[in-house]
Amino acid sequence: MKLKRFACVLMTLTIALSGLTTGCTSGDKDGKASSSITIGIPQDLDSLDPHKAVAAGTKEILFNIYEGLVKVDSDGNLVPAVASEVSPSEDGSSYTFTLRDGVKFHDGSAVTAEDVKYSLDRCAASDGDSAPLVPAFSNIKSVDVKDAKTVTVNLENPDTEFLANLTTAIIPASNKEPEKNAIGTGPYKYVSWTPLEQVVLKKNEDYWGEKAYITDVTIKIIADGDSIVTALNGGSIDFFARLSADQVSQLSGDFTVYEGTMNLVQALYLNNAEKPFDDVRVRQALCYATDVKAILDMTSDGKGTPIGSSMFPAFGKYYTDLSNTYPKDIEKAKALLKEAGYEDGFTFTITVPSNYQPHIDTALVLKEQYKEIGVTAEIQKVEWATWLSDVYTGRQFTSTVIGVDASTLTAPALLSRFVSDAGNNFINYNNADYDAAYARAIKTTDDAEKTAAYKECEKILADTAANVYIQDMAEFVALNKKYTGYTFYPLYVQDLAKIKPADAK
Amino acid sequence: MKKFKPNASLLAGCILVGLMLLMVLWGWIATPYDPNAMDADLKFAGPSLSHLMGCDNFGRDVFSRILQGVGNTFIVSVGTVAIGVVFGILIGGLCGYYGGWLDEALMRCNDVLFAFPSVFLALVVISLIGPGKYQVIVALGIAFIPSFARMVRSEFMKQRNRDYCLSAQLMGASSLRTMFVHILPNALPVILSSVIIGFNNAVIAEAGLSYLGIGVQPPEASLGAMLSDSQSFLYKDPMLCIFPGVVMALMILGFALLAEGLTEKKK
Repeated sequence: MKLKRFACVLMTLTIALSGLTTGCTSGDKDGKASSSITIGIPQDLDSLDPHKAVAAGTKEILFNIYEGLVKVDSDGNLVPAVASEVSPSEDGSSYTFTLRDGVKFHDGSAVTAEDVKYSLDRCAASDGDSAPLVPAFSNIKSVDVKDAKTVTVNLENPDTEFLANLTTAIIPASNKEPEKNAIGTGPYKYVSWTPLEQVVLKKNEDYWGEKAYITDVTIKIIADGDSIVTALNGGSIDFFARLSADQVSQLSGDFTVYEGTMNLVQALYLNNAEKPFDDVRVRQALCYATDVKAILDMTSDGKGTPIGSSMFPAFGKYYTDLSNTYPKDIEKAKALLKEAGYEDGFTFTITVPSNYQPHIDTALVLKEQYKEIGVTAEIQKVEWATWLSDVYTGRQFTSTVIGVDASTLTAPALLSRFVSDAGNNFINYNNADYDAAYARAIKTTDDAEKTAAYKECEKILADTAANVYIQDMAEFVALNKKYTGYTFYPLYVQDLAKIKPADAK
Repeated sequence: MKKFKPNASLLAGCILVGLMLLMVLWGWIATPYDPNAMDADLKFAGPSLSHLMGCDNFGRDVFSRILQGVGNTFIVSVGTVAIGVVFGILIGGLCGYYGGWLDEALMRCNDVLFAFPSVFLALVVISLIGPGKYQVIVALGIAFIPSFARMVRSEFMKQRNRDYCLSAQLMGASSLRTMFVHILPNALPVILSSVIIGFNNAVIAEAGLSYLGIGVQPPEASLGAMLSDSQSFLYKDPMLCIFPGVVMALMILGFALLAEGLTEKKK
């Protein structure tokens, strides 16, 4: 009977899927734990090209392969990397770099000033209507090679913060296919990538700085959030970052759990160009109807830091606590809706990537909360790739729950996307005051004035309820007790080079 | 007319299916609690008198969710089987009755559909029309058509040369009338038992698709989605997956016994 076979196929499929990630172990039980580690990540890489990758989950892995002229350390300072010395001009209109001696690409060739120029020019290139690969690079006037070891970056407009953008990866000019062949200067070399399955890295023995401890790193893609705990407990992966409180509570005793914050802005991002969210009153109504504390209690046992704008606390200098802009007030929310002509509420869709359980959970709680003001939220789970193409790139969405991280340690990394014509302004935010304040912040060289202007930007975002800001999520990292040394960064990166076997000195 | 003589399988099947229908109705009319209402204080609460099956990770009442879930699973199964049967009878009937090039053409299309495993066929359809409760009905319905069509076709081929058919035709009955007024009732017993097995498969298929996250969308409950959600808490609160699992097993068992009972009755 064909129908029976159909049932069989389904059963096997379901069983096979749930068992998929538990099949193998890391195979280092013979005391040679030092040589390898298997880590899990929740989504596939979107590109190997460091300049074209957009997903934070990709960049956190590429951090181990590529380096810029400068890189970020775990305290959030910019330290020289490919360059050994940086001398900015006084007004911030040009930066001169002296390349470090003996820095080699993974293919063995030495890093030359030409490679640096190639990499920076590549990211600054714009074909007119689209923004450059690194949006901040639209400010680069020219990259001049002074001699074999010296490169100067000249800016159109002085920017004393520009250095933070120069964490942009330096890649060899000779590599014609950076999409397929990842060659950088980082502590780990790229070995292979099997899409949807795994990425393999190997220790870079020629690394200029402190070398990695572990030789072989296998990065497994575990898109099914449910099987992460099973995979950890079963021993098929040794490390997983960004676990939820629920997941942590189910881990066996074999793991060290580190607690930090994710350094991202989790919010219900609203498409400001789409009805009904083109009306500021509707957006504010949603903010008033949102009870962030209840979300934290429900989804993460109260862990996480409520935020009120597109800035997270790790940015001490620019961060102002705006989380109390919209205290929960159902009456006010209803009044605002009435004013906006939505007295009877409305229905909207929250699109969430299906591989991020914390975002799905948040969306579920939001849905319940919005019932109180007569607004119906419909949740639509989509594949990560679909989310990227439809929501982020295509801007075809009404609202989405996601966390936005900072790619560099500067305020623009979080705030530039809300300038009306920014290429990555996926919520279509459009506010003249904001544009003006942001332009002022970029232009000024006076630090106090700059900080004030950024803070004004944050305030405008909060006051106009650009999005329903929720939290900087608590981050739990599980690392098998066979290893130690996990280090948190104020950016969304995983520094694998710092992880070492527990028994090593 | 055969005399109705109940047997053990039929009886047990009827009871289980009856119970299920009762749950479906109960879920439609009223659930003890709002199946989506969250309560942080009740997270992972165990079974108690006020919450018969305890509460899940959002403090939602599991029993209410199961009532809603059974309802959703039931709707999807009925819808799926309905699509499969209606189109199956149409296609299979035409092919079986007329034969010839029409049969060849339609059956080859059918074979093409058959060539894909049904789940993947459903997945393809879902990827085209998007996930959701009603989309799943369409997707599974399409996946179910080929097997029904084939079954109906062979039954119609068997019946079309029987004497009663020929005499109906001699009396001037049109082809359509012969097919659906004369042949169909005679083919019904065979169709009926495969419809019931079809229900069974639809329940499993719905659970499978919801388990994969493309069936009934959260926060609405379905048995498969509940199983899938509870999997994250397998170690912490095994009860969360036991209840929907047991209910689904009983549901399938009920249909299976019913089908078996009916087949036995015919012998």
